Amino acid sequence: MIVKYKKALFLLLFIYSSVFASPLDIEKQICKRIVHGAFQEKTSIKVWSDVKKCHNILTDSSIIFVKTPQEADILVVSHEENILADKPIFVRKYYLLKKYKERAIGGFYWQKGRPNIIFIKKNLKKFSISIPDEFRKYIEDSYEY
Amino acid sequence: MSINKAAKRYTAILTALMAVTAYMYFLVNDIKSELVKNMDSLYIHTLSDFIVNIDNNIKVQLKDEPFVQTLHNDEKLRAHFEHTLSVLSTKSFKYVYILYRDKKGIYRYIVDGSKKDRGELDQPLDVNMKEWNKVYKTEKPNIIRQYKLDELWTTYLYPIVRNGKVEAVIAVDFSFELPHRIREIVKPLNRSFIFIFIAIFILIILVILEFYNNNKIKRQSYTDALTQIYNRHYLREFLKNIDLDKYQIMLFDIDFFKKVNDTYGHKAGDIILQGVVGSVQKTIRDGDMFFRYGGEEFLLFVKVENDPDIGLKIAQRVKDEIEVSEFIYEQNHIKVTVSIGVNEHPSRCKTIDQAIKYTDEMLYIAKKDGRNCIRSQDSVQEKSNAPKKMSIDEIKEAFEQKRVICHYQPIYNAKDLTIDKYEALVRIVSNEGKIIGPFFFLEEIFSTTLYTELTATVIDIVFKQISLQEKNISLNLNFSDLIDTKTYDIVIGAIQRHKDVARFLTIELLEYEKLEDFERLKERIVEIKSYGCKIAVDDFGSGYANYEIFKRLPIDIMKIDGTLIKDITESDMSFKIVKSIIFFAKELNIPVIAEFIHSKEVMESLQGLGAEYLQGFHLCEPKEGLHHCH
Repeated sequence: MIVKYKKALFLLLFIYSSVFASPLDIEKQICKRIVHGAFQEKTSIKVWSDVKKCHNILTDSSIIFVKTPQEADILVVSHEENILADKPIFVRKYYLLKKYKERAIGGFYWQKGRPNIIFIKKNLKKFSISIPDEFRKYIEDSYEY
Repeated sequence: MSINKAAKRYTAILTALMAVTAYMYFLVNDIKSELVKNMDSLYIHTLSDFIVNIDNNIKVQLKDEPFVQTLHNDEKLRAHFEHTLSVLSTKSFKYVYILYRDKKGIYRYIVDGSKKDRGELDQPLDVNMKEWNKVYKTEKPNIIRQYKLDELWTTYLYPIVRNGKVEAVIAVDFSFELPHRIREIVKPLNRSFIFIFIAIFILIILVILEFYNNNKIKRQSYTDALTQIYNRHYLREFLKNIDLDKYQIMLFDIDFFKKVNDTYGHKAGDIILQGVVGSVQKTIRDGDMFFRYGGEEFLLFVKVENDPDIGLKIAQRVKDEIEVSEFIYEQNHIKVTVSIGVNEHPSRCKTIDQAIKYTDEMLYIAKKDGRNCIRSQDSVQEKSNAPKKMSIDEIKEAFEQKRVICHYQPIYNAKDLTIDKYEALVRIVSNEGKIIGPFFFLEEIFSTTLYTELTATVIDIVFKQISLQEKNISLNLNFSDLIDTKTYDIVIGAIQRHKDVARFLTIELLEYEKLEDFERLKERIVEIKSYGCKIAVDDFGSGYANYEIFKRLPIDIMKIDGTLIKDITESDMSFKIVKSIIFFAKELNIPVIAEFIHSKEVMESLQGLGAEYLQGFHLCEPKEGLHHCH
C-alpha cells in the first residue's frame, strides 16, 4: 500500500515539475498519473473523481471509474465537500485541505497563475506514505496557521 | 533579350522583393519590441511611485513595530492594508499582495489585496525563489518577467525594510492587459504589413508568371512545331555568340524526301521528319546543338572537346542510326537515308555564314556522289586526290610558274537555253597537273599581297579571253576589293587597258561583312560602268547582300544565292523566297541569274518563276575554255 501511494505521488510531482505544459494539460496529466502510478500492480484501478473531465482523460482500459467513493482506491476531489469515505484524498483546491483535514494527503492547485503543491505531513503519516526527498520542501506540518 | 538575361533580371526583382519583405517584417517586430519595452517601463515607473506611497503609509501606521508579527496579531490592521492594496488592484495590476519568508524559506501570505484568487494568512505560495530571495538580499526592488506562466506578464517586487532588514515583500503581478494593449496598438501596423506582404506575394506570383509566359513564348518561337527541335529563328540567336573553335558543323538532308512525300503523302513526310529527328537525338550529346535548317535539311553543331574527328564520328552514327530505322505510316514500313556534309574546321572560314555555306557545299558533293554518304573536306580531298590546303609558298610558286588559270561555267538564257555568258572561276594547277579550287588557296592569301596579285592575274586572264572571243564573261570580286584602293586601281587599270572590250565584262560582287563606305563604292562602280562593264550582286538572299544595296548602288544583275535555289523543289519556304526575290528584281528591271541548277526539276521551276538566266551542274560544269554542253 505504501509503495503504491509513493509511486502515485512521485508521478504527480514529476508532472507538476513540467511547467511548460498548459495549466489544463498539467491538471489532466496529474489525474491520469496519480491513478496509473499508484496502482501499477493492480490489473484494474478504481478511481472516483468529482471532475468529469478526469473521466474523459482516464480512458485506459485498466482504469475503472466507480460511482461511489466507497468503492474507490483513491479519490481526486475538486469541489465536493461532503465525502465521507475514509480514503486518501488528493485535492485540487486549497480550501479542500481544510475540509478534509483528516484524509487529505496533499493537493495540487493554481494560485495567482502559479502551480502550487502541498503535502500534509500528518495525513501522509496516517496513510503511511513517504515522498521523495526532493519534494520534502512542500510538506507542511499543518494547514492551520 | 536571351532567356538567361531575363532569368537574371527576374531573379534580381524577386530577391529585392523578398529583401524588402524581410526588412519590413523585422522593422515591425522591432517597433513592437520597442513599444512593449517603453510601455512596460512606463507602467513600472508609475507603479513604483504607488508602492513607495504604500510603504510610507505602512511606516506611518506601524512606526517601529515589527511588520509581520504585528499584522499576524492584528486582524483589523490586516484588513486595513488589504483595503489599501486593493485600491491598486486593476485590470493591469491583477494581484497585489505582501508575502513574508518563514524560517524554512517558504513564502507565505501576510496581506492580500487581490480582488480574485485571494490567499489566506500564512498560506504558502510557490514563487520564483531565486528572484524573490534577491529582494531579501539586495533590499532593492526586482522585476520578474514570467514568460513561462500563461496568466502573468511581469511581477514587480518591492521590499519592506525595517531597521536595515527586509521584513516582507510587496508584490504586484501584471496581467496580460499590457501586452494585449500593445498588441492592439500595433494591430494596424501588423495589418498594413499583412497587406504589404500579400501585395508583394501577388507581385512575386505575377513576376513568376510573366517569366514563365515569356519563357514559354520564347521557347515556342525558338522551336520547330513539327520536330520540337530548334528552328532557324533560334539559330540566328545561337550564331550571334558562337565560338567556331568549339564546334564542327554537320548539315544533312533526307535523301529523296520529295519522293516519300509524293508516294505516301505529306503526313508520312511529317512522320519521317519526326522519326529522323528522334534517331538523331539518340546519337548526339548534351552540348551539341541541333536545328531544323530547312524542309528536310538539318544542321548540327557538334561540340568539340578532345576528339578532332568527333564531327565525322557523330555523322557516321547519325547515318547508321537512320539507315537502320524504319518509319511506319499506315502499315507502310518506310526506310530513308541521309546525305551528310561535315565541316571539320569552321574556324578556318572567315564568317559563320561562310562556314555553313562550306558545309552546304560538302552536302552538295555528298548528294552528287550518289547520296547516303558523308562528305567532309578531308574525304573530298582524299576522293579527288586533290592537294590539301596550299601553303603560301606553294601558292607563290604557282604564281611564278603561271599555274593560275580560269575555268568557265556557261550561264544560259532561261528561255531558249542558249549561252549568254560565262562565269570565270579561278583555279590553280598543281605540280601533278591536278586542278585545285579556290577553297584550297584563297583563304590563305586573303590578307596578303598575293591576293591583290591574284586579282590582277585573274582579270588579265579574263580580258585575254574576252579579247580573244568577244564573249560575255563575269568574274567574282568582293565589295571590299573595290573599296580597297590598291585592288581597285588594278581593276580599273585593267578595264582602261581593255576599254574597247570592257563591255563584255561583268563583275559579280559579293560581301561577307557589312558594307559601310557606300559613297566611295558607288563612285567606283559608276566609274567601272562608264566603260560599259556590268555589275552583278552575287549570292543575293544570304549574308550581307541585302535590299539596301539596290537602293544605294547602281546594280545591273542579281544572282540569287545557290542555297535557296538548290532545294526550291522540296522546300516551300525556299520557293516562296526565290519567287519574291524574282518579283522584286522584275520590279527593278534587274535580270536574275539562278545558280546551283542541279536538276531538271529545279531548272523548270526557275523557268516557271521567270528567272532570266540559269547556271549549274545540270546545265554545264565549269571547264577550261569557253565551252558549251549538250
